[in-house]
Amino acid sequence: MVLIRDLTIQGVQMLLVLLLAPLFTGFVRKVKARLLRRRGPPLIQPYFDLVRLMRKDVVLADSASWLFRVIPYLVFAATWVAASLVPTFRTGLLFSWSADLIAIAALLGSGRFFLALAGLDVGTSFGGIGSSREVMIASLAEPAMIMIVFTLALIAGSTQLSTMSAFMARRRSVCASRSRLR
Amino acid sequence: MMLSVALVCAAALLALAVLAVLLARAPYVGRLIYAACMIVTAVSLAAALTHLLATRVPEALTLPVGLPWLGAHLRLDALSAFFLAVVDLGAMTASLFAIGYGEHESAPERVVPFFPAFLAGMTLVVLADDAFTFLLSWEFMSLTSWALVISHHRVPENVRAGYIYLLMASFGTLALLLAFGLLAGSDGLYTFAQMRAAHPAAATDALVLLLVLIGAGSKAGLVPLHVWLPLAHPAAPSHVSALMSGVMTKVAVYGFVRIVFDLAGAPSWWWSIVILTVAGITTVMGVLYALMQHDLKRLLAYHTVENIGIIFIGLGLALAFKSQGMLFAAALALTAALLHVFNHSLFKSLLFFGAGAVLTTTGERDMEHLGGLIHRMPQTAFVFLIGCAAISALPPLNGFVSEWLTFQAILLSPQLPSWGLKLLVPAIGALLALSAALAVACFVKAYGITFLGGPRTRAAETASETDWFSRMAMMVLASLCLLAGILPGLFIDALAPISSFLIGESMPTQVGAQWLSIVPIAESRSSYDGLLVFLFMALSGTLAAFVIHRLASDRLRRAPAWDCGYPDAGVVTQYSATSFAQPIRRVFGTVVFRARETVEMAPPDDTRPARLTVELHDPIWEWIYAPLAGAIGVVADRLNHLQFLTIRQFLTLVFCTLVVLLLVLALWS
Repeated sequence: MVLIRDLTIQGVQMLLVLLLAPLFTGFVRKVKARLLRRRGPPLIQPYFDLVRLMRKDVVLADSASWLFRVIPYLVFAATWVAASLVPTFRTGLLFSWSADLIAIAALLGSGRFFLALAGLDVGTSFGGIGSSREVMIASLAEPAMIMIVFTLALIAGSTQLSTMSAFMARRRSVCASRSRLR
Repeated sequence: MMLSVALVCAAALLALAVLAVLLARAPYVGRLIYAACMIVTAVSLAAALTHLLATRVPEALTLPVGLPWLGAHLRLDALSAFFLAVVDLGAMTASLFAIGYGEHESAPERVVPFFPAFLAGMTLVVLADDAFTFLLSWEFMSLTSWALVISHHRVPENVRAGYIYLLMASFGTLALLLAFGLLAGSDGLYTFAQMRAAHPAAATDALVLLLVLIGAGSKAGLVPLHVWLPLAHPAAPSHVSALMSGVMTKVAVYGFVRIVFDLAGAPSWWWSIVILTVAGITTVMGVLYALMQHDLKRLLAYHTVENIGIIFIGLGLALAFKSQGMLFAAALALTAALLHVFNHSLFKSLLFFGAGAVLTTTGERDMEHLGGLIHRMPQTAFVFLIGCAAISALPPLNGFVSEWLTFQAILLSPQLPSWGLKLLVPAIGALLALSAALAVACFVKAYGITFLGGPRTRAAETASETDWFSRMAMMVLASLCLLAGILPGLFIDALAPISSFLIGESMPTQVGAQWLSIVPIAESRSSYDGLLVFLFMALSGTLAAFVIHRLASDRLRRAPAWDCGYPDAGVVTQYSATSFAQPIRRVFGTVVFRARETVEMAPPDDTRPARLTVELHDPIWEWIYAPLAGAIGVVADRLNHLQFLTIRQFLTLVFCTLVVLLLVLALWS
């Protein structure tokens, strides 16, 4: 019974992440547009885009290899696995121990690795420029991300997301009660 | 028993070397010798694994050869059994690869005899139990590999590589010789057992550490002693490159671990500061050098430098924790380092085999002349991709596991009492993270430019899949990479006897953990499960593919790639290795390599093409080696007149030297 409940929670969590991800993309686009003083597309535009893309044919370049066909699923799988390990509305997920925060960062790195390869697969300079910049930005952003993980891990004494979030929650409540006492 | 088996195997390898010389002109001798090497190393591997996993009792043996009053002491314990297994696994797959690859060799009589001898040398180094046998085997290993490096001796570049390698190898052996001299003390205790029992002064121990760091570090490729490595490793035939990069550098790591952890006395805390600093610099410099290369084999060789840095970070952490009495953390760090030794030997051999397969079919090592090989060599491309993902430390493959363990060890550093280490270790962690990210960039470049895109030359266009043996060898290694990635617990448990032998504590048994996950300290602290991550990725990828194919339109069209409306883009407009690395070269290279780009534009009425020249400076070569070589030249010139003295002056010189040496001896003891 407990197992079924835990499995359901894990499943709901994975679906939630999947369903909300386009909304977040829409939000980022909106913010970007507002910063440029444009109005920007509606928040739910990415959902419309997805539906439209689903109806379209797959167009492959002549020079594309089998890798180009596989990579989208690989990138999706790596990202989804990483996202589903992050506790959103509940800690202590059923499989949260199967990877810690460092592994999540590395899973996202896997996605980026394959994405950059896809850019080079077709052999146009656009793909090349994209993947070249992607890995350059990643080489700067990833150490920064790992450093943030380190900082949190050193404070919480763990790289396990559930433990870290529980620790942070406890700390926050301690801080709150202290400020009340004052 | 297992020691005798391993020794018989080493003797058989030496016999094969002699046989190869005798049969040099016979047909199929190469295939025969390589096949025999494979069988012999497989037996030796079985012996090493039996010792490591089953018997676990150290075995010793004294052979009445070598120095008359000493004999040759040999010993098989957990540490040497592990490194023997690494050597034999690499040797076995390299022999299998060479059965096919050796057929393309232009001068097989320069390669085939030295190959088994080189294997025997490496086997004897890890089995040696006295300083004499160790150094003799070490030199034998260096010399046979040198002979293999200059096997294509008509290429001037290779001869230069061989020369620098020989110089660095003799310099390294000199340092090791002095280190053993210090450990032996004035009583001349040559066996390892006597050295272990002796307790030299702290100053002597510190000197031993520095000498070993130079001696073993020059063989392993620690910056700034790495200069020979990217020259020599690519010069050798590819199966030998794989052995030198994947296995011989590990033998050097063995030498370091054996002397520093086993023979020398208790470590001081500052030792680890030296090691960690050198290792951190090695890691980042190695990968930055690799990013600047467009020669595939040289890129891989520079990447070995990076991985040696990662291994030494683990070893340095182990020493730091051991010196402070945190034995458990030390066991974790040592296990991480040893696991990376094993992992790196797998994927580096795999990648060099792949580079060798590309080299035989296209005759090219330069990535700028390759491209699109995934269409013509699909199987090689697939296993090479696994190797690239593994070395870039991507889950769920094996490279990630050892780096993850190293990160876990780094995260234990706040418990260290010394402030120097407390501040240094997180900085090393940042360097490790930086190098991991740069490694991803480096292997996207190596794979993308070589195997993806369109063929840049005729040679790449007409390439064909490599032979069956070579593919087999690569597939064995690729499946081991995956296996070690999804079931790391098995491999970590196999390393437990080593850390309990060297540190006195080992990591908890991993196999019992749920779903075969690895839990280095406690589950609430950190855990990783390669199997589950792999299964989840496979499941969600399949699910996504299924859903998309069911719900979405699954019609597929092929069309020319869009290139901004240009009618015929041509393959030369593709991104090249140099242009791919340009952003990173601008970010890091301007500081580290003083990279300068000059664009030469022809004036409007001139038909010359525009030219972009990239100028890179190797800081280590220019700041350390060039001045050193210059100084040696100047000193040699000054001392030249010593060659033209009269006999009386020579005798006086000899007498004075003798007096000085006796004075030194009298003062020292």
